Amino acid sequence: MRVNHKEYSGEVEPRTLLVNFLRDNLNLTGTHIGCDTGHCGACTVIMNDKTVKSCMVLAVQARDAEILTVEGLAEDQKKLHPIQEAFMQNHGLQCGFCTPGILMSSFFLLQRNPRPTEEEIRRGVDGNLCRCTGYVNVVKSVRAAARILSEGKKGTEP
Amino acid sequence: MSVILELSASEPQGRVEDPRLLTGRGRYVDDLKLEGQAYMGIVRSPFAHATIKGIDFSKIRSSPDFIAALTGEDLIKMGVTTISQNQWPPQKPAKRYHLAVGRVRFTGEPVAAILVRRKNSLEDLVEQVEVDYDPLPVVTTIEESKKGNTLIYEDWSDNLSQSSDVKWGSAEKAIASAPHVIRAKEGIARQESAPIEPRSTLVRYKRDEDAYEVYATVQSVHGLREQLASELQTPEEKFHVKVMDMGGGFGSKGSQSYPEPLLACLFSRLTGLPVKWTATRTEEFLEAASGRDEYCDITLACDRDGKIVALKANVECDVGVTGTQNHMSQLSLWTMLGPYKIPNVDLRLAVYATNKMPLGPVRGAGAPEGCYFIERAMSIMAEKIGLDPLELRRRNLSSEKPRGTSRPTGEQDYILLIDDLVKHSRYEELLKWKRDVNSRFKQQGPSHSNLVAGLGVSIRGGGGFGGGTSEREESRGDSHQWSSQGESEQWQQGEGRESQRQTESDEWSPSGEAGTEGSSADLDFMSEYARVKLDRHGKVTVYTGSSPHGQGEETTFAQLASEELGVLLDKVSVVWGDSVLVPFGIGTFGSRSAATGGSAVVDASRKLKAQLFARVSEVTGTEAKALAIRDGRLVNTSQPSAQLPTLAEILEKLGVPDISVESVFRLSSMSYSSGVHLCALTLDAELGKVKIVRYVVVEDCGRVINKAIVEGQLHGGVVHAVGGALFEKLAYDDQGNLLTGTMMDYSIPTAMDSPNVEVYHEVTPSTVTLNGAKGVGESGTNAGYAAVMNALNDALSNVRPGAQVNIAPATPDSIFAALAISHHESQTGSD
Repeated sequence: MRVNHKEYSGEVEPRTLLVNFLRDNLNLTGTHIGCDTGHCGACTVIMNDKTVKSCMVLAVQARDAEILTVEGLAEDQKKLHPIQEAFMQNHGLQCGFCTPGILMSSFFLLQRNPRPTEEEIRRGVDGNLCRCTGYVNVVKSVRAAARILSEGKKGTEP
Repeated sequence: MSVILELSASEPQGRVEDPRLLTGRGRYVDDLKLEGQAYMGIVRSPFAHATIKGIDFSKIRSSPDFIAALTGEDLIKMGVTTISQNQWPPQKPAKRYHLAVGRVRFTGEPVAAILVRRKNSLEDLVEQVEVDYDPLPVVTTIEESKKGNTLIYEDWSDNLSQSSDVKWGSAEKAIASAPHVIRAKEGIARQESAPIEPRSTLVRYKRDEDAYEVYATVQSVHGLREQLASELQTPEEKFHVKVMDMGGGFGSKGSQSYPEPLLACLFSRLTGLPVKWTATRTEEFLEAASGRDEYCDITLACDRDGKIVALKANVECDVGVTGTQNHMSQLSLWTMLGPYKIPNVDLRLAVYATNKMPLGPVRGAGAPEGCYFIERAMSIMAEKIGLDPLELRRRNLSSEKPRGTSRPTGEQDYILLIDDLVKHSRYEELLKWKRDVNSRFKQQGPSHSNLVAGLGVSIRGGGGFGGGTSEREESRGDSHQWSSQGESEQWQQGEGRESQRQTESDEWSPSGEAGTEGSSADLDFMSEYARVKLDRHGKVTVYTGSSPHGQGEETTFAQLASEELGVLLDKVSVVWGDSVLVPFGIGTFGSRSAATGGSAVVDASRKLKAQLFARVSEVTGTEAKALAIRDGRLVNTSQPSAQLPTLAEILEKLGVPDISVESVFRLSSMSYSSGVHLCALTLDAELGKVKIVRYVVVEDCGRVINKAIVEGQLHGGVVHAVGGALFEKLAYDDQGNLLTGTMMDYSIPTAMDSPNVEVYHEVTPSTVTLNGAKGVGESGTNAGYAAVMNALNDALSNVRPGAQVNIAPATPDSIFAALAISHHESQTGSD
């Protein structure tokens, strides 16, 4: 499979989950496991241009797939992706555990819908549970990211 | 009265910790891998109460993946006895074991532990361990526990774990003669902290040193070190405990003694292999301390003017098998006194053991329950006597600062907070909105809507424990139940640490050789450790005993040191979560870190500066008073043009690479923020669906060190309470089986469920903390339950008079049940 634009191959037990393959075999530990049952969304990655919860996908199902994880979000490793920048500027994260999943869901949302309403943002990250932020600043961050991405403006809300 | 303290360093945009957490470079314990690590699995009881007749590992011993197994009997042979239990408040000691011995007492209790080579085989092998159980009768409710037909602990005479009371005046007499009396039965079900990161631990035993390297998800590295040392009867210095980035805690990773870190230590010692354990979410629901489960029969009496004359309450708590910490319901008792002056009080608490997992602190740790009880009672009273709920509260609050300075608990103006709430929420408009929505509900025909609206308010008193005022201290007179020292001191004594000494190392302490007089024994809940070091490049390192896991202390503590020392923020770094780099500490919980940890950082920074200036004065002859640091450079303020040596030159002359000062700073009282909350919601009377339309908080947390972080704490705190008020319940069947073992069954709020919490500030700096800040981490949760439940019940009363949901969470089925009951009552005329 291609992960973050790099080719990887490996042998795994058929029952190995994609999230374990990413974390244990590829050492991409930015993708987290929060619930094992597909509810918390901490393991959200992009697989073939769609978000998937990588604890709900077998590694073998991702054979030949194109995967994007939080580690590959910023093209330039020295800089933050505009979505990451917006989350930093708007305090869209606290403990950071759910954050990689929320960033990937936000990335997917903004690709499909560059100017989402508050309702659409909330719906867009509804599959990602966060216990710290109460989502107030997550929504604010995604709105700011939308503005940066579509207008190239500064990400801080007035 | 509001004062905004000027910051010398401007508030940073974004936190120091953000870049690594945003790019997947954060390091959580489960991310770590040590060469050759083995995996630990726990065999858990499927029964809530049973005798263990035998444990058989024969099916797994032949597996190539099997390494070792442990049972409770093995642990006893190895000298490991019972799980630690805090001695405060007074309670019966519960003989609990890391692995059950002879008997299991809750579903999910660890019975055996196994060590395997491959992660993938872990669950297979755990399943194949055969345990022979003989089921016993199960106690799942307070009612059954009270009967005592089945004892949770054989050596107890009944199932009462603890009891206490708070009394002054004569509540009974005052209630009998009061014109307005309400009585209500309120409660909050058992709920989970549910941080998104499950608990995890990784241990490497180093044979040559006979020492343990322990990585763990805990809110207190030093607390875990102390527990492991005590439970394994090994000196503290043999444990190097480290906390990495941590995915939230909310109490469940507090100072509980969980079996897994100890078991991982034993396995690592036995096998020489590094041992990793990470909980599944179901294990979290089965074992990670849950909270609340408190129920209150409350009577409130008012005079003709709406002044409270008496409060009487019986609080009961289901503590499960009892935990390491059992102080939560005691804090509820103190919190339910609210910010009000009540002349007659009679509060009683009884805590019962059942066959459920141990209770522990969950964000607020008893305060949300206490606040919920009194604030529900206040709103019920307001409705009964036909007063606006804010007006009833105004009549019982004062804008005067309390007399006396024994406890700076009156560091807020409640009337101002209410005025602000009225203004910022546009209260009059909300009242009109409510009338409009509810009139459409009552209309027939096409203009009818299924939505009813409700408004709810609540107040969280600030100050120390219980938010007491000096008037209360006076009014309670020589109450025999409370020591005259007040609650804070009781707490401190309860922790078994009576030292009043504030240990500081004022000595000149070059190169980290700070001759600290401090030790863990000098630290308690109201204190924290800090060391601040300045090197010759002007770089400052702050070492703190606090242990952040989302609270952003790497940023706020750097801000405090930067501000005190006059160095730029990017020259300051914060070190935490390492029991070797930071020798002492208490940790991060109980809304205490900015207040205690932050004060210790300020104290150490000030002392560091004083020492530095004294030395500079010696070397240069410049008066120490005239010295200052501006942007990391020494300046002589009386002669700004004078050339002073650089820091590097000073330190060179002194022959030291750096200077450092430690502080073990103890507050004279805890200092908590106060808040007034308003919740506006609609209820779909057909679907039972609740939507929070607005949620407004006016907070006085004293000095706001970092506005984004403070508001983030309040947002998350409020939404935690929204979940607790509307969805969250750990449900058990009558055999003690947990019915909510996944995040599908136990729902925490999603973005769609959560309101856009609006936060406004008043700033009355605390006089007990050195930075003016008051604890804010739990404030949103503490007041949130009552605001949401008051709003919901206001809405319900518009569907049918008398319809009430008194036990949180108000799930759709309990809403329908309330409507059905009140409907039935109104039909039979019994209401």
